[in-house]
Amino acid sequence: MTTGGWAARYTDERITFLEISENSTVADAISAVGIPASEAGIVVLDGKAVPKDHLLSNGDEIKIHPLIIGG
Amino acid sequence: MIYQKTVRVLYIDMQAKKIRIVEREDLKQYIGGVGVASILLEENMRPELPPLDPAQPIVFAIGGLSTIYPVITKTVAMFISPLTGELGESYAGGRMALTMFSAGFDAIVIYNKAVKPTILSISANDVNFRDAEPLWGTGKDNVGQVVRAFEHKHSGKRSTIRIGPGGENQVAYACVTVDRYRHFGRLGLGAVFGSKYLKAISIAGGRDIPIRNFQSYFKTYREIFERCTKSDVMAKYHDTGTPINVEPLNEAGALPTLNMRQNRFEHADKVSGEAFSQDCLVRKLSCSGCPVGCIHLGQFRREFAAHGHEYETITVGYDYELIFALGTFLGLSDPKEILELIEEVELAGLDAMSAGVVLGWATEALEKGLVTNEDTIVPLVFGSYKEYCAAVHYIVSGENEFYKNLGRGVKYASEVYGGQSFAMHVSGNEMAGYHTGYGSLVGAAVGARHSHLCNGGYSVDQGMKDGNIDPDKIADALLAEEVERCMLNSLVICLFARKVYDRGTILSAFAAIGENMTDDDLTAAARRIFATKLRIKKALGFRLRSVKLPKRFFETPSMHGQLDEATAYEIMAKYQEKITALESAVKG
Ligand code: SF4
Repeated sequence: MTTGGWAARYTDERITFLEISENSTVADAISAVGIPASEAGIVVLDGKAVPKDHLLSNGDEIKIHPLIIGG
Repeated sequence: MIYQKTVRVLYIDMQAKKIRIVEREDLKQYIGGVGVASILLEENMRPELPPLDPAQPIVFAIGGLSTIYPVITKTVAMFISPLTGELGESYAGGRMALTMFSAGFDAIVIYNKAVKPTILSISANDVNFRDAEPLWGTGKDNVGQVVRAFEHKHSGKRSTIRIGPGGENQVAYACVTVDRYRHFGRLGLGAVFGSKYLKAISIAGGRDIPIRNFQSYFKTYREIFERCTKSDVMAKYHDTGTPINVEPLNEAGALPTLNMRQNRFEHADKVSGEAFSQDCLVRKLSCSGCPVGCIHLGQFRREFAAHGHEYETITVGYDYELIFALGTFLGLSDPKEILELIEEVELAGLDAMSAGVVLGWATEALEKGLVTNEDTIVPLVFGSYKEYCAAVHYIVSGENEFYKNLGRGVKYASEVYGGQSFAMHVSGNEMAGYHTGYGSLVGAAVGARHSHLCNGGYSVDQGMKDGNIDPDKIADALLAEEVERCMLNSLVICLFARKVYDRGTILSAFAAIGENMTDDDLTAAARRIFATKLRIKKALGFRLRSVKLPKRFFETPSMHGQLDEATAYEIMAKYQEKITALESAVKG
């Protein structure tokens, strides 16, 4: 899992390997690394945005982006 | 105005050089800001006349909590837009709200045309009509210097609001610059200034208003201040700022690129927020009364004489929308070149988003042979910034028929030359930098001023799942946000802080200055304001049913894949049903 560095205030690592239980979702992975759900925005898997309740499979690589910000 | 039962309105007749000050008790129910400004626009507009007729008004307003709490820094401007012919509404920060507040005016209405170019100089006791004839045709910086010279005694408590040559020449998307780095950017307020021979306004305040119950006020202030400075809610605006959006939008396939032929930019990493921070960022600034400091300034160096190694360093503001419109949309991948183009647009006094989108269309129209090299004078090619810098000047000077038409916006230009399917506007307003899905697209179509800021449609898209599109739910979400923003904009908070100012916080803030508002009061005001805007739009001839969205929105995949045209129109129809119901409820 990568965060591109924006999440430095929550987690030291830009790249994290996570062991998560079966049937874990993107939201579970976000919470497992300590990023508040309210701060995580678009999550990309295989070049495509996936919803937070997307079920992860073994070996999936996701990138968590911050929320799109603006007015 | 704090502790008052009335809203204090300053009316300025530019032609007669006369002013009137009216205390309006009836306007209190609209809270302030966009609520008060909408009513003043409705009362003073002339729907039967063109947007740039001298009789049309410009309205400015601040809100019921302006400047006394953190991040409540904005002033709203309302006018008839020369770009869309519809409701014009735009917001700017800087020092303007603070100076209106301390000069003692909640709202200003300006109408008629001066006999010659004029600078309005407004203070608590006086309004002067100063001769600006020598400044007409000169840059915005000169105006700043002149205003600083004659208003020196108000140093630090003065705001300068001015137009550049784009506004003087009434380019339909000319902007108004506030205190150098803030703008009433969208929908052409600069042209309305130009149509009134109004070069600039200087507002100076100096009143002190003692706080009555200091303990209660300070406690509330402190709480809000801490949430702004110590929580995560605002930190991202200060850190990288909105340019942080480049990377996620690109990776998700929502970054309009090359006139939106693409939804990703192969050089996105070179123009990301991180790249701008590393290569160009030199300073961050704040609007008066804001502890956040989201205004990011970048620097570039340029040679200003052909011989002798003469260089100057230029500082310009940048944010996500500018990187999108004058960067990815035009295929520019060097931050320094983007900054240089931003500077040209800034000096011209144009809205950066409209300017970029117009140039993107012109580039593709040339490529497709709809217009010729003779029309464009310079060979516009994606990725080549020098020609774009030259084109900005040609738009402002109306160099030939083609550039005169470009100066009327991309919708108009594409009606003249063809290429409407790739003229990226929504109801005449050039698109914003989010191709995130139905939320952003339909949000702009149904939004009162066709801006991404009407209802933040991209946020709706962030929470949406593919293959699970519910038109009714999307219409509901857009409408709820649009109505709520009517209330927020009556305050007039900076929308970056909308998560700080939840309903509870707003009510506490009012209570601490002795105004006992209820949640229902806020809801009622929001609906009243929204209904006023709908009435204005109707009077100006807007019909949602007539909105036609350019085909490219449905050809280039969004973050949620390819959008279906029929679904987009279905959401719009649902929205129409809902606002009809809401209008009758407000009337009833
Ligand atoms: S967050 Fe930025 S735009 Fe908003 S008030 Fe503060 S400095 Fe101004």
